[in-house]
Amino acid sequence: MPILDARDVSKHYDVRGIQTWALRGVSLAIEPGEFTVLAGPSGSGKTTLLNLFGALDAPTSGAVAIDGQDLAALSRSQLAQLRLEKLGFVFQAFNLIPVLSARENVEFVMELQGVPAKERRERALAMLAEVGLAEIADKRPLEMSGGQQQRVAVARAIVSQPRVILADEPTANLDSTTATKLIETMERLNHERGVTFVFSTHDPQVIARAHRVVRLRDGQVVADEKGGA
Amino acid sequence: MILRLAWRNIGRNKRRTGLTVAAAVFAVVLVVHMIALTTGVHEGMIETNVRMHAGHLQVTGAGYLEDRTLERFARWTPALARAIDGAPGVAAAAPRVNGFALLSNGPASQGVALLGVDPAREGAVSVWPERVVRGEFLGGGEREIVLGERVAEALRVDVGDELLVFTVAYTLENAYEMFRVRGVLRAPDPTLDRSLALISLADAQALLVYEERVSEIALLARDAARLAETRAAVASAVTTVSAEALDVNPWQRVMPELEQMLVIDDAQNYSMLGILVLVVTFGLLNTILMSVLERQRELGVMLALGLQPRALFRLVYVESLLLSGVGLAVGLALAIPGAAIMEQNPIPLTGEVAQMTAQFGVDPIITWKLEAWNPLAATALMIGIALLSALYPAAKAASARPVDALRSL
Amino acid sequence: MAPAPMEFARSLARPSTWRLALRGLGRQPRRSGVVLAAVAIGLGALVLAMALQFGLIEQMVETAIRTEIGDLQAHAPDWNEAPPLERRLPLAESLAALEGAPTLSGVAPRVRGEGLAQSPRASVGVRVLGADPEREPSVSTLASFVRTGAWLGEPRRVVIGSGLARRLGVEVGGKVVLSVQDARGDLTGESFRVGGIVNAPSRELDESVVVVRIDEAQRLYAIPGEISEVALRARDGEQLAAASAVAKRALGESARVETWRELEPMLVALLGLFDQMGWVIYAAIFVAMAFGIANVLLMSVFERTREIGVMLAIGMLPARMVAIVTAESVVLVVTGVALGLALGFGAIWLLRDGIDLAAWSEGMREFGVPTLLKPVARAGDVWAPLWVAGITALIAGFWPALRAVRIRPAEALRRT
Repeated sequence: MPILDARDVSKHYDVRGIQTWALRGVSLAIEPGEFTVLAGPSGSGKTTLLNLFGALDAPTSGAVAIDGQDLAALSRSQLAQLRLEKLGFVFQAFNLIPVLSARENVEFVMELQGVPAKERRERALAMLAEVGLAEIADKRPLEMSGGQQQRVAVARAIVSQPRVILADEPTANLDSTTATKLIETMERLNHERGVTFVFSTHDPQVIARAHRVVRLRDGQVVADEKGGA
Repeated sequence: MILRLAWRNIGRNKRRTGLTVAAAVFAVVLVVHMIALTTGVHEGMIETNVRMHAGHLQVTGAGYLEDRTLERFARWTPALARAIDGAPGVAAAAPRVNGFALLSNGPASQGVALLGVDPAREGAVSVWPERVVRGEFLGGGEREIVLGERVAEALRVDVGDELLVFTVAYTLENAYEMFRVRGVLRAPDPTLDRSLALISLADAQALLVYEERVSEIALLARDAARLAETRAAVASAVTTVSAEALDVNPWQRVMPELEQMLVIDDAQNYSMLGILVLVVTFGLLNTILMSVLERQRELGVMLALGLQPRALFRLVYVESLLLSGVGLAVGLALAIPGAAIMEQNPIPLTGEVAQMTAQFGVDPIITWKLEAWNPLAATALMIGIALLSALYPAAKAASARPVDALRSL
Repeated sequence: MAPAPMEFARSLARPSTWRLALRGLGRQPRRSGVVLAAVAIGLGALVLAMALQFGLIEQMVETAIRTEIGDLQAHAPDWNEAPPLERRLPLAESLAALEGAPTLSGVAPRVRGEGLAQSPRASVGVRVLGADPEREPSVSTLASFVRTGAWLGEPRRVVIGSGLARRLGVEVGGKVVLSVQDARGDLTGESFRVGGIVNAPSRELDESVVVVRIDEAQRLYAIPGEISEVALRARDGEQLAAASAVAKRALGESARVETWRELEPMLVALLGLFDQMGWVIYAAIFVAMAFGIANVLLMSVFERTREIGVMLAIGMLPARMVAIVTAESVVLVVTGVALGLALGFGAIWLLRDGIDLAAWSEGMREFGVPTLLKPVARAGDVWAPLWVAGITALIAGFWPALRAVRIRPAEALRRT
């Protein structure tokens, strides 16, 4: 059974009277353990599709299921619970909580899951060490570089042991060395822990490392290449 | 976690938090002082009036307050005196006869409230003996009279002079008697000063053919705050020894004007407090709303990470409570010592205002009085403000959309 | 270059300053809206509350004047230095001088004295008011409060308050003996019957006044052809001074004419005190508002750090920047005050027929207040908020404005 399953989804935006179709009849299934890239130019619908997979937004038509569970049937608070249990996010603009330190940001989701304080702290520190950030555990986001913030974001996404991590252009604001390091980290986590990764990107370096590349254009899937690296 | 997040969030924009807290501090200080001032002034008015004449409680013949005539009386028997003196909570008791008389000295005449008082007991209840400015208060002598200053002026008499007292006795026969002025006293209320004459209870009873009857027995309670208890104790003590039905009236019934004036004054003060609360609520609402609107994206991230929408609602509520809590703490820390200092140092009034307070029977002094419920009321008010002002911003925060988290900058 | 205060003043005079200020506020309509609402609703409620309170006080004063005092009173020159019976005016001459004066709409001669009222049941000390049955209603409203029986007129009939009737235990037709000391110093008495009972609006009046026909009062007190006072009603209540001057001219040296303001300094002081309290209350509420206004402006300055940096970088004078932010504050407060006054006066207009305080009437009567409470607005309810608000706007705007000009362009541009 696919972990993420979109069936004939369309998404329609109405921005100040201007009608835009962000997705037109997309069907896509992601199997557990995949390391998939959604590729395409800006405006092709990558972010919209990630939003739908992340239960952050609802499609205009069609159905999205996570781990066999149809999202349309869930309330706002059930969706929040689902995200908490099964999904992790890494955003383009880092999006750490500015008033919390690196460690506290990583602990945030575990705290929501009800993990005891001591265990939380140990796991957060271990995770930060794993992404190479043990020394900045007590710094606030404003005191970190972009690469550091994005690695904290990855640590935050992974530490709660989600089934899937969704990442929207995670390398867009990073230089190429930092970007490579980030991708390597994620690849390792995919390999070692079997976490499913879905990215949106137009970075050729990232696309080259993906196992499956889904190309989008004008809200439609134009190619689905499996195999790769 | 919510608490920590909330605390750090309000620390984020120090200036904004500072101004909001300052508004809350201002409100708390204003509320505490306003209540302290009102309590002080009201208590002053009550105490002055109680000590001036009325007493905390008055034992009278049934229905006396309705018509205030000699027809309604209590019998001041040794048994009644013992019962009242022995009732728990009674500090002092003074029997009085309330009559009316025309005083005349040659062609000058003046109508006065003629009070028969027990010289030995009166001083413990009212301040009349202390108010004497010339001569002395009543002693054991017969046919002696103490006049209000303006009465003496109008009649052109002074200590040692004689005057004629004319009244109508209980028997409805005319009664005349010559009295010698023993003292002149000054009442703060000019109306009272113009219409007051005191004679001894024995003389009054003789003049009015009133035997052992009295109009009222004024009582001073040990603890003004527990008047209801004392009233009940006195009521049960007097019913056992009095043949006639008696009323035990609290000062509120004896002086309904005073009670009503306090109620109207309170209504005015509370309407002002209400408006102040409204203004401060809007101020707090704006601060919290701004901070929520600025953080839409961040709130979206938290939702995306799996935080429940109602937790965001709670977060905003905690922020609001913290803001007003800090304001409250600082406000109380400033206001309470301030009010305590004012309580020790009453402000004397001068000029027109002083004359006006005198008309209401109050010494021209503004006193603060800080009671325990005052800061509690301020606290309740601030919490109310916090709860009210956070409602809209919190709802706004809870309706944040997780997609906003992924919007590119 | 002109000194900063000059430049500030000049900037405030420029329309473009105000245009920029309006745009600045329009950028965050919700935020500006909340502040506007706070100022408007707060002020509106305050204006209404003040008007209701003033209405209460004015009615107390009005009741006192209308039911007994009158607009003006004429007495013997040194009347307040002796008991009323000793200082008298000649009745015929006084009336002849005052009646027909164009500025006076009512002239009522009175005899004032004290006495003991006795019924078959009780005796009570009373104030005696000798009044002319025809002329008295042209000055006071006492006659309009008759509850049972009739107003003065029949010989040997008196009018008493319902409270006094209760104390004496008499009804209309009941017998009352008035015992007094006359002007010669003799104790004397005369018996009357109760002709009418009034529900007087003040307790004192209701419980202790006996109204007697003036000729009978003169006989009782042995002052034939003489009276204690003449109460006067001015044709125009606002023109007391003119009416007073006319009465003074008419009476010459023989009498002293005083307005109710001179007769009742306490009532005047009460009105004055209320005005002063009004300023204090308006000031307190506006201080509370000032925090909110300063907060919003400060926020708006911080949001626009970059933009302000750019403006300063391209050469805008700091004084002009201060003027713009101050203008924002003024616009915010003036609009709020305008809305608040509109709200407050709108509410006053809606309540122009008064609020029925029947439930409170028992208590209100103690103060001589009718049971219908009408809000009464004064010029001060416009001026006090305008002044206080103006000062609030300047103070609340100035600090954020100073923050704005302290922004250093280079730093501001680096920030995103």
